[in-house]
Amino acid sequence: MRRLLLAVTLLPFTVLAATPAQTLTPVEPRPPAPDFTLQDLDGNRVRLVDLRGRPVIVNFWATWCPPCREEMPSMQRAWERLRPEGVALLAVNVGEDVDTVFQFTGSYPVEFPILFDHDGAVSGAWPIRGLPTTFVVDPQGRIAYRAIGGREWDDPALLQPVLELRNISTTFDNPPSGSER
Amino acid sequence: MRSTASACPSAIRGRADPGVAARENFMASHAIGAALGVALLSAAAQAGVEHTHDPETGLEAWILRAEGASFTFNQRLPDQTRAYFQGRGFRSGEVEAVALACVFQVTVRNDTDVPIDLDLSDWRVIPARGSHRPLRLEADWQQEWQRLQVAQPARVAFRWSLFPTRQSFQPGDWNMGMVTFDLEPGTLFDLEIDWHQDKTARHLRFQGMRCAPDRQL
Repeated sequence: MRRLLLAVTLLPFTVLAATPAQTLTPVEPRPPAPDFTLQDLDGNRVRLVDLRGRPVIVNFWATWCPPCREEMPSMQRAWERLRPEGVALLAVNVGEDVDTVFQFTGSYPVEFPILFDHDGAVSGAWPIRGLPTTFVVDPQGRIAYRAIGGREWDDPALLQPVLELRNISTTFDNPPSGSER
Repeated sequence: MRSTASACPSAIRGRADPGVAARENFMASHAIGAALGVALLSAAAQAGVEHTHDPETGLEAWILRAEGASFTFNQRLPDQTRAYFQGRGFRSGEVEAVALACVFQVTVRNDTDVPIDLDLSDWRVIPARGSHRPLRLEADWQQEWQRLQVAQPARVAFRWSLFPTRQSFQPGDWNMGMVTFDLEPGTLFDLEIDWHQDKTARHLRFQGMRCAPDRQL
């Protein structure tokens, strides 16, 4: 009985220990994020540089990519958490047409902007090898973090470093220091 | 240095001496091996490869889990590949070559605490009757698609559907994509894969893999 109790008590910790923590990979030194101007589902033009001054999550994806689909609901939940905090999120679809993506959003409803890189030119300019790949751009327009493969984006462990980027926006006009140089 | 024989069904090893005696002296060997950019793996990593068979679909998979890194190879039927690429702008004649090229869906996960680097141009297939040969890589296919004047949206989809030829996985990263072994449906073969875990070169031979047959589900 005592052994059973101990096993039940330890079970949650065992599960936690067995589940690898989700991470974002810091990119050092931070390179400038390649700028782009792309259309969204409504035909509006969105330019990355216009979001300068706040953190921007840039997700490259496609409807035919299983991990891309899998992470969409958690990305929507993350967006609901991040939007009031002044963080932007852009999902750049690679190589598909508006009709395909519009149909997709019927099954995966999301409210953050979906942009279209029809010819793959923008994806080709970013350091991407596979989909999904997600970058976090700091308020100065530099790539601060990268994640290859899907994530559960509403995990606080992932969102905390994104939120912390807001603090350096106050030093926007100052030259970078230390390892950021 | 590439090993082509093993006593186990599958063997994973660094590029240094893989022998039992060396494993017993693992700690000492590791210090020397690390200095040379090679190392032996622990006994846990020698457990080998899991082979699964789905009774419903008949499709097979080969999975290696080694010290937090995992490599999964899932068979794809030619019909799956035909349907997939036709749905992305390929014409039926264009897609036949890739559908019959022994396509596998590969998933690589890095749950270690060091980077993992892959270069598929280092990998080799060894057909049951034949010698080592390289994989047919994405750049090879793109030359073919250019020659056939395949539509650009189809070529973009193809590029991102194949597993990247070279990729670095930081801790927590993972990816999935197709690889083409350029063998006929149903062919038996071994697969030799190489990767770097931090600075350590690693090598594994999957034995007795098989391309999916050309049949419907």
